[in-house]
Amino acid sequence: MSGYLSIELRRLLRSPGYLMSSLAMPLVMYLVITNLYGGSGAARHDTAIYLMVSMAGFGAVGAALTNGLSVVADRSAGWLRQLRITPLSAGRVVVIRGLTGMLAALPAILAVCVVGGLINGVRLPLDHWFAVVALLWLGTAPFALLGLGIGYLVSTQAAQPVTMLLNLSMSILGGLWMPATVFPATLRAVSRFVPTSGYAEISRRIAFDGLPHATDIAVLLAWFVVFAGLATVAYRRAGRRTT
Amino acid sequence: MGSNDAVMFAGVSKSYGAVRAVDGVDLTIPCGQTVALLGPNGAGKSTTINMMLGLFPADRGRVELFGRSPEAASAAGRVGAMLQETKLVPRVTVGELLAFVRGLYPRPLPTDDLLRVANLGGLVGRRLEKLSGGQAQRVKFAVAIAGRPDLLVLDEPTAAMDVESRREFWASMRRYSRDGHTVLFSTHYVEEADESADRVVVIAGGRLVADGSPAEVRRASTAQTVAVALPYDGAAGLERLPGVTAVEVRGDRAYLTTTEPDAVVCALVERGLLRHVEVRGARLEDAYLALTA
Repeated sequence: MSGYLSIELRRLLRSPGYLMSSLAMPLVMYLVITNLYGGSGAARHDTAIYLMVSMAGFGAVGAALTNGLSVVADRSAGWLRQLRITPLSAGRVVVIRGLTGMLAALPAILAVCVVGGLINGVRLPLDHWFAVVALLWLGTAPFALLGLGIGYLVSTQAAQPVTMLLNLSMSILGGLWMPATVFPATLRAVSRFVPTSGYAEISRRIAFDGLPHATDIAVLLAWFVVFAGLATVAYRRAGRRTT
Repeated sequence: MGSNDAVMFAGVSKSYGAVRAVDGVDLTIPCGQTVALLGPNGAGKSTTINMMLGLFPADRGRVELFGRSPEAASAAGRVGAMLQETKLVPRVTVGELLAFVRGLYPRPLPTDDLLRVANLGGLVGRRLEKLSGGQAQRVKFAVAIAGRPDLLVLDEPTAAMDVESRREFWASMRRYSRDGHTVLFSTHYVEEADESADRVVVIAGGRLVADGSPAEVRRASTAQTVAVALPYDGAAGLERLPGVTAVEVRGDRAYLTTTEPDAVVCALVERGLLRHVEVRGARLEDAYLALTA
């Protein structure tokens, strides 16, 4: 089991392009937006915190989803079929591949938080920093599983556009690019149930010294269950196809 | 050990839409045999192998490895395979890949033995994406045997190899099978089956058409070859001689396939065409061509 994780982590660390590209867009957007709309004083600090969580979440979700594209590559190379005839069980393959997706999300979270603290002047108590980073990271689990579902299910040609479309639509609808409070009422109601919304809101509440809403936690957990089911079913199907 | 048989197929069929790829195959392979699954492209070799490994479900019939389901046999680490058209994943070294696969099995081959049998000395630190075609095939073979599986399955392992790599490959395979392991390989090269297998199973149109030692399969066809110098006016008309089923011209000789060599020789004498005659028993290739025609 640990052998599989270690080989997948090596492969991840040896693809610096993938890790860098997951950082570039959230970092640039974070710096640009805070400096354009930040205001000054306490308002600026609030904006810097709000956007730090949003952009860390945006980068993390993107990286976790993009992990699915390397699953597509493995699948079309026949690597999944090769694994299937070893003693490694299907469940472990899915769990470890999902964990790889979560670990791929960590650099984006850390980078945006470091920029928040060092450049945008975000000041949080140490335990809040810790909770925000930990929850942003743990919350990537459903997105890593969704990435796997796409990786095991979608055709090689369609995987990239499907991943991009899901990433952008969830980021926008979930209020990562702009607060859902600026949305019209109907869209705001829908936004609450988009997985990225609860995901970011849980950490945001803590960053602003509050407690997460039960609804946000419940919605995110429900998506976790749905995407875990999707990934498992998709993995079972994937062994019977080659492309 | 539930069973002395490594592989058991009972009435196994598989269709893709209207095409029946495998049609009622019965096959039992006792432990320790080296079996060649021989057949032309599209005969059902890969489908048979995919069902054997539990990668495709059979539509009908029963498939067992060591007396249990293919999935259970894989989970117990008793199966290794070299699949067709798989590529090695990038950004991993040969050594890392083999260490990973060895770690999955309960009784893997020691690393030194593995590198020696698969002829991989000097490539341990090389990234998989930097290997040549022949080296990649050797690594895939090493992946298949790393766990010291009781059953080794090779689906057209030499399809993309040159003559030299092919000879080295079969030497490696024989080193593994000599240690009492069961090996099944598919091929459409008759000479590979003849040289490297204890038993040849010929498949055509999804059915088993012959099964036995290479010598037995050769005898299953009574076809023989009568070769003569090519007549001055060419090979035209030779196919109409009594008893001739096929004519092939190679260089300055004509090769007549027949089940009645005496009649063919008499007919050649009557026409004054008997020059440098040579009558040969069937080669495995002739038997194979007759069986799968």
